[in-house]
Amino acid sequence: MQWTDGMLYPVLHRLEGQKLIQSKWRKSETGRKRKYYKIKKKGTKVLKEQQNQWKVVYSTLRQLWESGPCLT
Amino acid sequence: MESCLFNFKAIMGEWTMFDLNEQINKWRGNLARSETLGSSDVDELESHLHEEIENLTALKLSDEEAFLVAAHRLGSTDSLAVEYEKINRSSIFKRRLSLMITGILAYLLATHFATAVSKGCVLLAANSGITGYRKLGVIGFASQILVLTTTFFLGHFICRLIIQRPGFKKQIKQLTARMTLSKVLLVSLIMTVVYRTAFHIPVPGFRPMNIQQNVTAALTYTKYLWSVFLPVILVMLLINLRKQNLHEVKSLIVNKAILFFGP
Repeated sequence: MQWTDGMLYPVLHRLEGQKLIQSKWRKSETGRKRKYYKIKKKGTKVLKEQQNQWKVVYSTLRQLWESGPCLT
Repeated sequence: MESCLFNFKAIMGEWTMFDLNEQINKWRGNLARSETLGSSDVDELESHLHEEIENLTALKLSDEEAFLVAAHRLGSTDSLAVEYEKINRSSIFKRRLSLMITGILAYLLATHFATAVSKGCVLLAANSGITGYRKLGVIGFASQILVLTTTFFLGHFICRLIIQRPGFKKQIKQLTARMTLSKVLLVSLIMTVVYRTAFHIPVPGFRPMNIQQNVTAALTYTKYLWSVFLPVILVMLLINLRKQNLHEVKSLIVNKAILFFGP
């Protein structure tokens, strides 16, 4: 299934449901309604945790692929 | 360029100029019609669409091109509906539940109303001299069917008006267009069969004497008729839901009718 821009919003809603971000409807200068999202403290914490997990995966794979004998 | 478009319009007559707001409203209507998106979801997507279109027209794209690119970038209604279904599960369930409860309440209301009207009809008939629990029972049965079908169609139109607000005139035209001669004949055939059957079903051990007893017996007979015909009606409706079997049911009914009217 192809990713489209509209699929971003269900992800944002799910993050909001997990209390990681907060949203607010505000009127822009043109008078149109706009939804603004902002990350919360818990969200920043979870983001740091996920980044650390990715870094662990990245360093492990780098070690496996750069050093060591041929894998085939 | 503008004069070319106007000449085209004059020649073809049907060509319409691209109206951005109309297209956006159509697009919004498509989204809003899907079961899985709430109104704030649609608002959010619409504001995204507006901003995307503004960005694209600033890059010198025409209105139509900007709309098509922006709508394509947002994604098709079907794929969005699938994604929103994953997060809106509880509200979708609540909406469906409230619809079911509304349907059940409407059904109860309609049957109570139908019973009350049929009791009134039976009493009127009995007081104006019609005797025999079978005749009165059929009057009760027929009046209930009439009330139920009218309330069903009325309720259906009212719900459509409240929930969807579609082209009302178009609906009535569609309804009358579907009433072909063969269907009218089939319905009248079914009604004749039902009428003949109703007057031949005996209720054993019943010999009522006066008006009051006649009415009571008639109401019991009405319930008896429902218990005979409701399964038949339900089975026919279920078969009708599988469209390919409709022809078989029609020929079956015609054959049975010929058997009925033979002797």
